Amino acid sequence: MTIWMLIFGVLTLLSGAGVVLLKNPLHSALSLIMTLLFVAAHYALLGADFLAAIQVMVYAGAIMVLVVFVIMLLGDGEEPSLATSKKEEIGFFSWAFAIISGASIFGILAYAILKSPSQAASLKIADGSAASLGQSLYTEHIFPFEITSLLILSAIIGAVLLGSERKYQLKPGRGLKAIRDKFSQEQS
Amino acid sequence: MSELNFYLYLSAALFSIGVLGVSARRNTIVLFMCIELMLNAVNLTLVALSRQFGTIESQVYVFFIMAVAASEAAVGLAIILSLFKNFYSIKTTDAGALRG
Repeated sequence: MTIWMLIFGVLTLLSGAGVVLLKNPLHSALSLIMTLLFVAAHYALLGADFLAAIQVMVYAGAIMVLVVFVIMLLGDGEEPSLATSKKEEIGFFSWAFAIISGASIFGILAYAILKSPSQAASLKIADGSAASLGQSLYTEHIFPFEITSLLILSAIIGAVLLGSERKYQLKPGRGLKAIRDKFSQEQS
Repeated sequence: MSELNFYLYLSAALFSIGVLGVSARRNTIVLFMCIELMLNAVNLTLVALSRQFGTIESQVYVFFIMAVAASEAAVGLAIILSLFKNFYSIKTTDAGALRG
């Protein structure tokens, strides 16, 4: 274990705590971007070079741009005149419950780690380069890989459907037929 | 402490922070970000185990988890947008229509 792992570990936990504790959602998002970059640093330290690059590009790049874009679009998510929102302050019991649940999850995991049999690290270090990962991905795991493209396609269609105008949204009990009828009405 | 145990404790702590955030916060975007935090904790565990056992398989799993997280981000944010369109708020306290 090198000193860098310790430093990045502390930084990861601090910025991770920032996601939860900061009031402004935009500050939370920036804190999460920092967390993701530190996790990418851990990947690089553990020899997973390709995953470190993907983490920076997909997570800290694409996904977080989307999140920040939505935060910019919605503001802090409240329209004062229209919202029936209760006050922003979260009650004492809510925090107490959250801390109890988080601490008990950590306690269970830490106990499991403590009780698990320890064994020496493998001498063979997995080559985390794009070449070896692609070798495994395109031979052994080709079927899940192709299914993933189907998953992403359905996610795109779902996101477009959810984000589109209300008249194209699914109505209860009618389903896709309602949408098809709407489209055919507009075509004619 | 061995390297593997250090990373297991680190990702357990990161996961617990995510659980704490999902329980405590009311803003759905922050809830979404806490879920991303938990996914990253799991990914970190898998990469640490890959380092420990010298196999590439767990890195492949991390790759798939990232693909699922990307599609989850697209659909989840679209759900948050339609929540805002329906309730004019993204607080979970305002979306209590199912509460009796």
